[in-house]
Parts: sequence; C-alpha cells; structure tokens
Amino acid sequence: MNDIKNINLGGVPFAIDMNAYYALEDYLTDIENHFSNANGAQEIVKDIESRIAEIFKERPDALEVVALKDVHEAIAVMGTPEDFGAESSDDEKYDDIPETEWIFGKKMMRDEENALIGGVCSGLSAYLGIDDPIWVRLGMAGLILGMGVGFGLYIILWVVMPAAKTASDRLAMRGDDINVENISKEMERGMETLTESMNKFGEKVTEFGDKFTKKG
Amino acid sequence: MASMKAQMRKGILEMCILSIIAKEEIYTSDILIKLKEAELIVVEGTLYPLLTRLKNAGMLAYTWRESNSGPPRKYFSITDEGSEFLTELKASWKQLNKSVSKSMK
Repeated sequence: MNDIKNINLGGVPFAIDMNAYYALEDYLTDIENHFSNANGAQEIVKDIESRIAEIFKERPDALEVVALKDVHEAIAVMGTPEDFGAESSDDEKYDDIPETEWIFGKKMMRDEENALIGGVCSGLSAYLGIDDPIWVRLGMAGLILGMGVGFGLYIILWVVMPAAKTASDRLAMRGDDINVENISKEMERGMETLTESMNKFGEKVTEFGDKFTKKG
Repeated sequence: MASMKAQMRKGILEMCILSIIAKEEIYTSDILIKLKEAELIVVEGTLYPLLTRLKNAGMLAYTWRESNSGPPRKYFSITDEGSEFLTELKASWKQLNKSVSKSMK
C-alpha cells in the first residue's frame, strides 16, 4: 500500500506515489544544487520541471498515478548532474561573478618601470603600500653599507621576485583589483610612460649626435 | 586536460545548437534528437543551461507554444545577433579545422 500525493509540476497537476515523489524531489534538489551557481539557474530548473511534466503527460497511461518507474524513466531522459559532467557548471560559476570581485592577492614583483637597478626596492615599496620607494631604497642601502648583508639580500630578491611585465602584473604588485577598468587605466598609463621614455631616448640621441658633430 | 576537452566540446556544442536553431524554430527535445544523432550529447539536461545562456547572451529568443501534452513549450529561434555570431563561429571553425589538419599531417 502506498500513499498518494498531489503535486503541481510545471503548472500541470499530477497524482504521484509517495516513493516516486521522494525520488523526484531528491532529483530536483540535486539539479537545483548543481545549477545553483549558473546564470539563470531558476529558469534552467523550471525548464527541466516543465519537461519532466511533459514526459509524464506523454506516458501511454497519462492519467494514471505517477509511479517510481516513471520518475526513473524521466531521469534517464534528462540525465543526472553526474551525466552533465564537465559540460555544465564549472565555468558558469565564473560567469556570475562581477569583474570587480576578481581580487587577487598582492604579489611581490619587481617594478622595472620605476627601477634604479633591478626594480626590487620600488617593487617592495609598492608591495608594502609606500608611495615613494626612497624609504625602502634608503633601508636597503643601510643594509648594504652597514652590515653587508644587503647586497646578498638584494641579489636574492632580484632573482626571486618576478618582474611586473603586464598591466595586470602591475595591478597585482600594488594589490589593486584586476578588472577591465583598472587594466585599461594601467595600460594607458603604461603608454604614457613609454612615450615619455621614447622622448627621453630621442633627447639623448640628439645630445649624442650634437656631441659627435662637435667632436667631428 | 580534461577541462580543455570539455571546453572544446562545449564550444563546438554551442555552434551546433546555434546552427540547428538557425534552420528552423525548434523545441528543446527536438534539438536533443538531432544532437543525439550526431553523438554530441546524450542527456537532455545538458541542453537547458546552454540554451539559457545563449538566450541571455542575446543569441536566441523563444516563443511559448501550446502543447497537446503537458505545459506550454518554449520554441527557440535565432536572433540577428545570433546569426552574426554563428557566421563568425563557422568561419573560425573552418580556419581552425584547416590549421589543425595541416599541423597533424
């Protein structure tokens, strides 16, 4: 003997066996959990519910009480989250995350753009959140002159710290959020620096040329 | 590597779904029948998130149609944006296909 429950599935009323009901409920919960991070999760679950209702309606004995075997048949058509495998959720999770939430930890990187030697000190001061690298440089100079350990330390840091080459590297170096807005700002700034150094280079070339012509 | 395989599959799957829908306005389970024939997917559940995503991206639109059996059905059709995207996809697929077969010779 089995109890019967009346349910509304996708807007269609069904009478369903209790054991079939529990199986269906478990399945729908699984589906819901599986898609919980996906874009439009509610819509996906609703679509699946409607389709299951349709499958129940398409049974030859559509007016009969829905039995456990009917639920199993419907699940076989729709598939379980395990069947969906890698095709579904993993990257959809990221679709839902707004760009601003992509926060990466600060990274210790060499700031070659503001470097005196290897960019170790300017990178360190960016990492420590100090605006002017002069203080770290003074500290490093103190270590080199005072105890002599500074030189070795500097070389080790130079080797260990990767150079901040791309715009996102530079953001990570300062601990800024890596999002489209910040990256484009950083790239714009990078272009300015590039033009600046090109100009400086140009000046130097002219200077050199002047000297050369004077000598000649 | 597993994820790369899945990514490739997914990209190709989206292209196939778009080109199936580009031919005619179609119901989800009929899309599945075609994809099953092509041995691309086996269970219907895989299809719903993809369709929802393509729809949210403006590639697809749907209309409700009454059904003799059960609740009203969503019939999907391709949007102008979707057709444009599909043309691009097809072009890059051809290019990719050419490059891959060349490099594997």
